Amino acid sequence: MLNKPEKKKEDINASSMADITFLLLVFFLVTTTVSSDKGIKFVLPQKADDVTPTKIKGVVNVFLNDDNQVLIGKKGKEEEVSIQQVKSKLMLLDREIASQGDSIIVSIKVTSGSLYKNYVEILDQVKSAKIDRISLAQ
Amino acid sequence: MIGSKKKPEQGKISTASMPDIIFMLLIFFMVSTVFREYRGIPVKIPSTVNAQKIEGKRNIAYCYIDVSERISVDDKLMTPKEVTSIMYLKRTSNPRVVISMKIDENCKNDIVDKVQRALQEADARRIVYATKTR
Repeated sequence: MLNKPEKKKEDINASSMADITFLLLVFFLVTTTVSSDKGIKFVLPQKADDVTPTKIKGVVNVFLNDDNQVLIGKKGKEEEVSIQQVKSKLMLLDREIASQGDSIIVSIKVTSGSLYKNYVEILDQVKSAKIDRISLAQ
Repeated sequence: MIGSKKKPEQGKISTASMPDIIFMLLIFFMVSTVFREYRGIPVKIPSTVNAQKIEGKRNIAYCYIDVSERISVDDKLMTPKEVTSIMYLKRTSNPRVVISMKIDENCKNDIVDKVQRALQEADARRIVYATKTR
């Protein structure tokens, strides 16, 4: 009798798998955008219909007007400074208020015609002065 | 001479593990990729010193305001009132939502205030003023 020919084992050729995964890899490499979301974090106050005025010590007002001039100081004692001076002024006031046993609260009031970049600049200066208690007056 | 000279063995780097390495890289990129859903409108955001990185890309919703006071959320131009309703929906579907405010640096604070009020109305109060690091 003749010998039965041995059955050939059938393999799926996997050599192209590397190429396919490479292609997918390149696709994801190209489409991935490295996260670059940065900014100044802020939590808006809760919506309040009736705001009752309270007397809190340690409030420092920062005003920004339509001509982008800045007034800073305690109530009634505000003085004009340039935006770049806000940080040093705040640090001074912070020390002064801390020596009286209170903690500083910065109340920022901006007029509707002022520029957004100056508002952000003030926020940035406040953050630079390591002050977290910020109130946004509307 | 008896016998033939042995051929010097050629040093070859095995590439058998290459597909595994590529696979691993592929999986990494597949997992970390978040597709950008919306384009927004062109704005020039201000630069600051204290720009913090925002964590959790999936929790960020973007709100664009450009110089001509157009407000764009999810690639739709809208009024502050519409911002309230869309942000309320976002907030209810994801309570950890952070609104990234991409506002042009030459915008007036008037429109910023209007949008902020709209966000307060929607109780989406965690915001970030998007800035560049100086």
